[in-house]
Amino acid sequence: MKMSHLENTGMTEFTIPLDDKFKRQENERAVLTMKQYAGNNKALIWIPGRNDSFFHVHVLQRILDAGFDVFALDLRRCGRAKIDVDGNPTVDELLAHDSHNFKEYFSELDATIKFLKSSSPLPPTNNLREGGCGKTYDTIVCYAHSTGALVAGQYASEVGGGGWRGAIDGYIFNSPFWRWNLAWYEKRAVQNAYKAGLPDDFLVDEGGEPSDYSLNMKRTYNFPQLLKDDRALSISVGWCKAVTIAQEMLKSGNMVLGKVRSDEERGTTAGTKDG
Amino acid sequence: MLSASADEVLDASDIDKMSDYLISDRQDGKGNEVGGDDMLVERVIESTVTELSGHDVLAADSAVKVNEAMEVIETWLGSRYN
Repeated sequence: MKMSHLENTGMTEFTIPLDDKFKRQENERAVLTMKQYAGNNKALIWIPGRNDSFFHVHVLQRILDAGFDVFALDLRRCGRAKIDVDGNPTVDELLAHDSHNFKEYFSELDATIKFLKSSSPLPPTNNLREGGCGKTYDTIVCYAHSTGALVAGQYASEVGGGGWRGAIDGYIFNSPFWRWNLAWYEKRAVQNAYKAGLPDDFLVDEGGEPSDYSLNMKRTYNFPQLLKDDRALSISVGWCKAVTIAQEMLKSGNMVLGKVRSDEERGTTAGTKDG
Repeated sequence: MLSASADEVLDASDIDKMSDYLISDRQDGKGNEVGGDDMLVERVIESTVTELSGHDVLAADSAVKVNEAMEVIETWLGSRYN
């Protein structure tokens, strides 16, 4: 399914089938949209933030012109992945991005980088795992916004996972969510919410109220409702936990983005656990 | 590392301070292969009253500010990977 957001962009959409312990529903998937130029030998992976669950097509041309093919990832239950291949919802609108463990996204990140390192022809169907991107990129840069930076940073720092994280050569972080912007007592309450024994799916904020931030962006860019809800999203204990774990990884000096990985993890010889 | 003084969600000074942890020594003793002065490049997309940026500098109210952010990205990509 191609949404109007991508019309006239020339971007192609592929489904990343998921088969791991983190899946919440059988029809869950991730989505990769891409555009390549024949002369480009570098790639940029785009990871959106929690509330900006879409690729910004208004910067597509400039990234391509900079020599980087574009691969925009919609993580499971986010953006285009809020619907399955048949157009059925995979998640309640307000629970998009409600991850309780950012490791759940590693499968689609691994699949994306493996795809970028495979010169096999493009998949004959919309299943990303059935082909390669047709090139083997010399350089892969990861762009991530806000919460996406926590996902990318944690992905980069999980040593020994057998994934493809070492193949990323550099990172662009746009307003990374390194720290809660709250008063100290609010911050402590959020960070300790999961330590109080509340279940991950307990909502500390049900959301649903109009979001000035979202409404303002939609006025300017007319993003589709599916990609950007007008309302504030729900906030669960599990999400607070996932954010806190990643932020503490940074603060403890254990979020490392450099090339400290083995050749296998750099994608020269590796496979992934999920293929 | 891009941030904006007009960020309506996060604090740009927090981003600046916390980003330094990316180049600190790891507690497990392992270090980065990538080093040097250009390992961490930070840029604030400055705003004026009439030309605001925001939490997402690539989707700011102002096309001028989006252009400023894209120029930073293009310059960094060009200098580092070309």
